[in-house]
Amino acid sequence: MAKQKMRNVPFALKKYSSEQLKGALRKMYLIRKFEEGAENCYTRGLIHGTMHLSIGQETSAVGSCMPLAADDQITSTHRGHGHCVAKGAEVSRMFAEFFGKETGYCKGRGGSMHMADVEKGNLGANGIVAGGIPIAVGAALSSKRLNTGKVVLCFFGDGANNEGAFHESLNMASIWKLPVVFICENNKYGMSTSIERSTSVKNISERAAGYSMPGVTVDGNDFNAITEAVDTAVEHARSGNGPSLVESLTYRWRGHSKSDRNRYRTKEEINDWIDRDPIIRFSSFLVQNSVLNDEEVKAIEISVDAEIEAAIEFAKSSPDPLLSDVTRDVYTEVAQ
Amino acid sequence: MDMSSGTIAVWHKSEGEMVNEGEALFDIETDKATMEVESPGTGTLHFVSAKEGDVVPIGQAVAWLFAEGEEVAEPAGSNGPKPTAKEGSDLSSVDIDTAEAGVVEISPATMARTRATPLARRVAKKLDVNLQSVCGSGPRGRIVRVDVEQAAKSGAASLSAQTPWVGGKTGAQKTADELGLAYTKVPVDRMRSVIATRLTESKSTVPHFYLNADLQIDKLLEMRAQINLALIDSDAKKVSVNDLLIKACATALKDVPEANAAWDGDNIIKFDDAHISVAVSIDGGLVTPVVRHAQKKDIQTISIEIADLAARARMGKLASKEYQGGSFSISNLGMFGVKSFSAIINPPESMILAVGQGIPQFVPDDEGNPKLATVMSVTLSCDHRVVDGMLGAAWLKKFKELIENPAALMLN
Amino acid sequence: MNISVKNPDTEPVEMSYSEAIKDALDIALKTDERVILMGEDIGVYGGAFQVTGDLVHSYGEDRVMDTPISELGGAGIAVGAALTGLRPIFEFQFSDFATLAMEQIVNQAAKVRYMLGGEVSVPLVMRFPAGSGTGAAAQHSQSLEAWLAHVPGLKVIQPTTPHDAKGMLLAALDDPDPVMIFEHKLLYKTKGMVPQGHYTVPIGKANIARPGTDVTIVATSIMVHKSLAAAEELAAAGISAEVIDLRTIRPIDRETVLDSVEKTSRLACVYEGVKTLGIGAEISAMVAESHAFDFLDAPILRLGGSENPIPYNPELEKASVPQVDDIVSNVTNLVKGKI
Repeated sequence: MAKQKMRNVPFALKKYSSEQLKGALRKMYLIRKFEEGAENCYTRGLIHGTMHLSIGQETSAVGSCMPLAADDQITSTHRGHGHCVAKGAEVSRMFAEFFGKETGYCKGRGGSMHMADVEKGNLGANGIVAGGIPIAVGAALSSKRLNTGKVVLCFFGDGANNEGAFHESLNMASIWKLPVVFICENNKYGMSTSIERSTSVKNISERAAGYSMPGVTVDGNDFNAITEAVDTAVEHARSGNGPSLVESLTYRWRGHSKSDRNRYRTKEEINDWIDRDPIIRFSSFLVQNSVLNDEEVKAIEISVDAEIEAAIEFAKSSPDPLLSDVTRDVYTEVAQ
Repeated sequence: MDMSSGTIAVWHKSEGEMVNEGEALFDIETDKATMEVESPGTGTLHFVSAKEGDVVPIGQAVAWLFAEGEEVAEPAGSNGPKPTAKEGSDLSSVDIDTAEAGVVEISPATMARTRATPLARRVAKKLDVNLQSVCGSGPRGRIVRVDVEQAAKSGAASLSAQTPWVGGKTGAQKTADELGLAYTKVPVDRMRSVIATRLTESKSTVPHFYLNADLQIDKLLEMRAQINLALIDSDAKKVSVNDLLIKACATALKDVPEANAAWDGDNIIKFDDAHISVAVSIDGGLVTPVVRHAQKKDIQTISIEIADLAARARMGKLASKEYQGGSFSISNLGMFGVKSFSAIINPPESMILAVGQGIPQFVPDDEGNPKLATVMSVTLSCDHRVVDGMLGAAWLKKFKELIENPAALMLN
Repeated sequence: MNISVKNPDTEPVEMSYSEAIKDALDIALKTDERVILMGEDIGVYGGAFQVTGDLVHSYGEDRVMDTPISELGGAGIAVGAALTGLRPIFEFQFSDFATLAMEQIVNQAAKVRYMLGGEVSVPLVMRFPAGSGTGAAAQHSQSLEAWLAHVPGLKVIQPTTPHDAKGMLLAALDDPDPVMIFEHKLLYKTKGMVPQGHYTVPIGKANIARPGTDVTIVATSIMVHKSLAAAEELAAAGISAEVIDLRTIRPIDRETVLDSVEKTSRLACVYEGVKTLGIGAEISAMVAESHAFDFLDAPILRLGGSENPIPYNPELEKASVPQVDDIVSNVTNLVKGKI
C-alpha cells in the first residue's frame, strides 16, 4: 500500500512491510495463546510452580521488539513469556521448559521465571524484580567496549522502578552513555500495590530527567505508539547517544501469579481493559489499513492454535532430565 | 526374651483373605514359646512372603495388609538394608567404602563403655589388643593410639573373638518386667565389663582341671605368730597368712618352673620369675595386682608390697602395668568362711590357687590316733594346654611341703 | 608448587602482595582486550589499597572504570558484561560492601549458567579486601568468604602470598565461572618472590606450606602466616605441625586435606571468619565423614573468629581473631591429648 502521505501515515505502516506487520500480529496471537495454553496446563496440574501471565500486554512486548535487529539483546522479567516470543522464541521449547523437560530452553532447570533464548538475544527473564536491569546495562557496556553495535532492551515493570538497582543502573548507563533502552511496562500494579501508592512520581518517565536521559510515556497497547517510541530510543542508543526510558502503559488481565485473588482491583476495571483488547485493536488497525482481511486474521489464529497444540505435545513427550544430572552445569566444564 | 529372629509356626490367614483388626494372623515361634500375632488392622492379606517353617529376622515384612479400595501393588523396600546413595548423586559426598579388614568388631556393650579414638580402635584390631584391657590416657579415659601400642608391648590380653555373646542380654529385665517383679537396674560399669569379658573368655576357652589338697597349717600359723612377735616393737606392718602363702607359691614355682608359664598360641611362655597376681576384693569387683619377682623377695617385702598394692587398688590408683603380666594367681576366700572353692584361671596365666578357710579338724597322728589340726583346703585350677596333671600335682606337692614345713620359706 | 610458567627464563622478583595483584591486572589488560576493571576510586586515586595504582594512565578510563558508589548496580553491570563477551574484574572497596551486591552475586552471577541450562557462562572476577587488624571496626573488617563459599556456582579463593595472589588472579581470568577473591588487607604489604610474566596457580588446589607429622593445621589467608609462625614455636617444643594453606575455599581440595589428616591423625582448622558455621566447620565435617575419620586420634579443633562484630579497640580487635599464641597453646593441648 502506498505510503505517500507520510505525515499522516501511522508510524507502523511507514516503517514496516505488510509481511512484518502480519508477523507482528501472529506473534501477538502466539503470545496470547501461549499464555492461555500455559494457564490451561497449569489448571490441569501439568505444570509445577506458578506462572506470571502477560495476557493483555502482547502489543507492548511485540511493539517494543519490532525495531530490534536480530542480534540486539533483551533482558526480561518474571512476566517474560511475551518478550520471549516477541524476540523470536519457539513456543515448543518454551512449553518444554514449563514442563521441566530436557528439551526446554533452560533444559528444565530455569522454568517460567528464568526463560531465556540466548541465540536470539534474549539474555533471560529474571526472578528478582530489577535483577535484570544492571545486567542489561552490562550487556550494553560490552556492546560499547567490543564495538558490536548491539542495542540492549531492558524490560521491567512499574514495581522495579523503585528498586535501588533501577537507580544505580540508569545512573551508570547515563554517565557512560551506554546503548540501552529501558522499557518500563507499567501495568498499574506491582503485585497488589498500585503505582499511585508506591511511586512518588505520576509518570515513571519523569524519572528519566533525574538521569539526564530522554523519557516518554506511551500507550503500550497502541502498536504504533509503542513501536515508534522504542524505535526512537533504539536509534538514539545505536548512534551513541546513550540510554532512554520508555514507559509503556498497559494492563495485565490475570493476577500477578496463580495465587492472586485480585483483591486489590475491581472486576469492572479488569473488564474495562479486556473490552479494549490490544490484539483486536491491532488486527482491526491492520484490517482497516488493508494489510490483511478478516479471513487472514482468522487463518493466523487457527495456525497459531495448531502451533500451540503441537508445542504442548512436543513438550509432553520430551524426556525428563536425569536425576543424576542434578549438579550438571553449575560450573563450566573446561577441557583439560 | 531376646529375639533376633523367629520361626513362622502357622498361618491363620492366607493370601487374599480378608482380616479384621485383632484377629489372629499367624503364630511365631521363639526359643521360649510360640506366640500368636494379631492383625494390626483390617484389610486383605497380600504378598505373604514367609511360609510356615521359615525363620524370619526381626524387622522383615512377612505380609502386607491392604485397606479396602487401596490399589494392590507390591510395596518396595520393605526388607533389607537401606539403599545406598544413587549412582552419581551428589547429595552427600560421603565415602561409602566397603568395610576393609581393619574394622574393629566390638560388642555393643563394650562400645558403650570404651572411649577410644578411631585410630586407637584400628590399631587395637591390628595388634590384637582388647580395648577393654587398655587404660586410656585421654580425657574421660579416652584411649588413644599410644595407649594401645603400650598395652600391646606389655602383653595385655588379646582379643580372641571366641565369645561373641559376651555382654549380651539374657532377658532378665524383660522377664522381670513381664512378671511385674520389682528390681533396680545397675548399669554395667567398666570393671564389671572387663571381669565379665575376661572370665567368660577364660572359662569357655581354657581347658581347666582341678587338683585339691588339704594342708595342715598349724606350723605356718605358729611361724607367723613368731614373726609378728619379732615385729611387735617396730612400726612394721604385721605379716599375714596370705603373705606367707604368696611366698610359698613363688618358691614352689621356682622349684617347678614348667608350671610358671602362659599359653600363647604357637608358644608357651615360660617366665624366668614368679609374678604372683593376688586377687584383691575392691568396691564393685576385684582386681589382681602383681607381686613381681616374688621368689626373690623375702616375706616382709612381699607383705609390705601387697599391702600397698591392695590399698591402691581399693582407691583405683593402680597403673595398668601393676595388674598385668602375672604368671600365677592366688585367691583367698578363707576369711569369708569358705571351706574350699575352684577359681577361674586369670588368662594368660596357666594356674590359680583357690585358698579356703583353715578349719579345726581331727586328723590321724603318727600312731593313727586322732589329733586336732587346723586344716586348710586349697584347689589348684590348671590350664591343661600348659600344665598336665603330673605337673600340677608336682607343684601342689611342693607347695604343701612348704606350707607344712614353713621354715623353708625364710630361705631365699 | 603447581604453576605453569610461560616465561621460565625470567628471574622472579621480590614484590608486595598488592604489587603482585597489580602486575596480574596489568598483564591481563595488556593481553586481553576483553578485560576491564571496575570499582570505586580505582582510577586516578589508585584504589583504596593502592592496588590498581597508575593502571588508568596506561589503559585509560574506558578500561579502568571508576564507578559511582553503586555496588549493587556495579556488580550487576559486571555480570551483564561477563555474560556478553567482556571479562570484567570488579573491585569492592571493602569486602563488607559485598552485602550490598549480594543480589547480583548470589542470585544472578552464581546461578545464571545453571538456570539457563548451561547455555551461558559468567566469567566474572570480583576482588574483596577483607579481614581485621586495621582498626577499621565492625563494618570494614569482616571475613565473609564463607557466605559466598556456601553458594554453588561461585568459586572462592584466598591467596596468601604475592606469588599466589598474582598466579591465582590470572587463573581466575582463565576461569569461565565467577571467581571471588578475598584478599586480607594486612597481606597487601607483605613481600615475596614472584615470577615475571604470565603464570597461573591453579584454583582448587591447596598448598602444603610446611610439612609435618604430628598434627595437620588447615588455615586460610592471614591465618596461614600465623600458623606457620606457630609451627616454628611448636617445633621447638617437639611438635611437628603440617600447615596446609587451603588457598581455595570453594572448591576445597579434599584430597590434600584428607591425606594429611590420615598421616598425622590430628586436625586443627584456623581461620579468621567467625568460628561458628565458618570454613572450619566445613573442613571438620568433611574430614569426619570421610575415610580419614578412621585415623583420627583426637577430636577436631577449630580456631576461628569470636562471636562478636570486630571491635575498634586494638586489643579487643586482636582478641577477636586467632593469634599465634592461641594456635600454639591450643595445638599443643590437642597433640598432648588434653582436648
